Amino acid sequence: MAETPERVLVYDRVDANRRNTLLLLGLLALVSLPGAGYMAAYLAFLAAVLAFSAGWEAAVAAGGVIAVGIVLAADYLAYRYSSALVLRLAGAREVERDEEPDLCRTVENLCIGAGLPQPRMHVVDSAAANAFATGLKPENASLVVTRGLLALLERRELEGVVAHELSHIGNHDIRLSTILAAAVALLRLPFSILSGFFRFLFRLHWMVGAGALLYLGLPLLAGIAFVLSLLRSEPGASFMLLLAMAVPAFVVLGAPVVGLLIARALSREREFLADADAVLLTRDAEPLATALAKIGGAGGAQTKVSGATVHLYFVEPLAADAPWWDRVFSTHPPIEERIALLADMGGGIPPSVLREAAEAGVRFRTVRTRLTVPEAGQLQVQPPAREGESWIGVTEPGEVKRAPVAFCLGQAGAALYAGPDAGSVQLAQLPSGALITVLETAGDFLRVITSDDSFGYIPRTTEMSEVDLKGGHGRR
Amino acid sequence: MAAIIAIAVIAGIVVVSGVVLAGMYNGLVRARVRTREAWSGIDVQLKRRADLIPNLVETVRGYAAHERETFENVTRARAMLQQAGTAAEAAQANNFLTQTLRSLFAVSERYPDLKANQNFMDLQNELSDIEEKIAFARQFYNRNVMSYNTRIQTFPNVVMANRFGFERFEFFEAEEAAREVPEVSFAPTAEPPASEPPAAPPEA
Repeated sequence: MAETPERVLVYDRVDANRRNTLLLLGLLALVSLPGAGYMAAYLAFLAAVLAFSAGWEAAVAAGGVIAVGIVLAADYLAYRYSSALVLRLAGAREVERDEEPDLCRTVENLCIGAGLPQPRMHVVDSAAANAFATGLKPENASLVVTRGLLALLERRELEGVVAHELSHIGNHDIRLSTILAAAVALLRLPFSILSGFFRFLFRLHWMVGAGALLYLGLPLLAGIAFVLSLLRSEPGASFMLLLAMAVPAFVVLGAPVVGLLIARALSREREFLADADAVLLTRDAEPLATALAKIGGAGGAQTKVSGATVHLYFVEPLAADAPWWDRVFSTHPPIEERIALLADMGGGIPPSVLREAAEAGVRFRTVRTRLTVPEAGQLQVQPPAREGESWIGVTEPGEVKRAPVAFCLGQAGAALYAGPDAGSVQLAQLPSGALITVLETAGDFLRVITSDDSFGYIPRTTEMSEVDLKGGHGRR
Repeated sequence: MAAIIAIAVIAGIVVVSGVVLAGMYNGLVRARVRTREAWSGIDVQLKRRADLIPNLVETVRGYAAHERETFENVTRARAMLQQAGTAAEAAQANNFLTQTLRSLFAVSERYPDLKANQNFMDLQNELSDIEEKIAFARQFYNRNVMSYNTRIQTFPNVVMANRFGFERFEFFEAEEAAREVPEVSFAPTAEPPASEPPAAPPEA
């Protein structure tokens, strides 16, 4: 039978959430203790060096502390500004009520049911079906859906997805995830120092870089000393040195992995919780289950995703056939498991319904390469007037809707910019033959979506040829 | 020495119990305030709907003036809702109003001009949106009531609740018996029964 939720209200869930947060932080603190102890020991070492000589040796030793300080500062900034950053990264655009009245009304009604303040609504111009919520407090929350999601799901299924995201907001899951991400980043500090971060430190000041090396190198030196002492067979001293080596080894290798596993396992738990809360809110488990089936069938992949934001999405935005070691680190439970639990809560869902939903998702995925053209500002493309010139796009309002047109980039390919400005960040270099669809013109640039659902701007003068997609049709 | 330790321990126990009890009391107060706020959420939507009704009745009356019984039922239901004191009364009145509105819309089906009227369509959409909002607000309120009622009846909060007079809230739901048209007594604030126009008996 369905598991009867003991905690009925979002309020009660928040209490439980806070307790879990504390529990988890305690666990993470435990895992971080060796690292913290090592830092303390390193500070003692620094004090000793300072007492010995205040010259370059001390400066180098201090460099290690500076490196740690930089990581801590970066963590704090990420925590404070994570919301704005995530919205930027995903390319989310805020929408007003009159732009998406049905969506905003659905969100408004669900907020009444959940007792939450209304979040700001955003839309991502991507054909991949996904959704996420961001914002550290319910008062500052934002809810993001993709165009693909709006096209794929029916009203009740969309309601279920929105309810799921609202549950995340109400349970303060976003704050929890951000804290977790910061903690894991801190645990990865030794690794970070060894990677590209290390070059940055060196560029800052050679002493800082050297200090960071020393911070990591001390255990290595201890290890070498241990080996040497073994050779000289002094059991007492060697045992001490072994201990001295084991702790840093855990700090460098073990703690990050264990910490990450804890964080990811908790993230999966919160997904189940959000599913359950969504059912409580909408009083109907079936639409959410069919929505999951549809999105599963459609792939749900949004490739432009960074490690920092992956935990926020509605479904795991990575490939479905990932190997087990990816699964263990995945932030979302497998879709089949979520559907099974929802079916339990809802008293069973006919498998034919789920099968149909999955098939609809697959159909959407094949159709979705015929990307959507927004209704405002239809783009008409003119072939080059003369040989050697490139295609140009002209916006003609009021034009009869055409099937979306895809273009194949010419020999030179094109650079994909983040904004309609050659000085903006270059997101990618599109190769020759890449498929794109043009959304609109923006000055000297064209706003496009690429075949892997990245969007950006390419110069208007890019050489490209039209590709005919048979049977394509525009969908909202 | 032992006496000092004993005093310290007792003092510690007193302080900790004080903190715990204060926490319990505050928790109860917070829950009560939240439940009241949840009720006001329903109230807001009910008022919005009540405000729309005169406009709706006038619009329909413009096309179907002789459907007097329907109008009177709607108006009466609206008055009932405005007079409702407790949650149960409000729920019953709300059900009744929903029923009368349904008959009103059913009647309007026979008048295609009315159905095409933009004002009427807007009102219909808005009313259906408010119905949905009432449903969600009711769900939220009832959940709060359940949590709060359970809290003040279970140990250890029950002791504190009884001591400080925390009372149970009523659910916002009506019994099945509310299906038939109930008698209405107009409160002194409304028209006194004596001057009620006897043009058509309410039950006809």
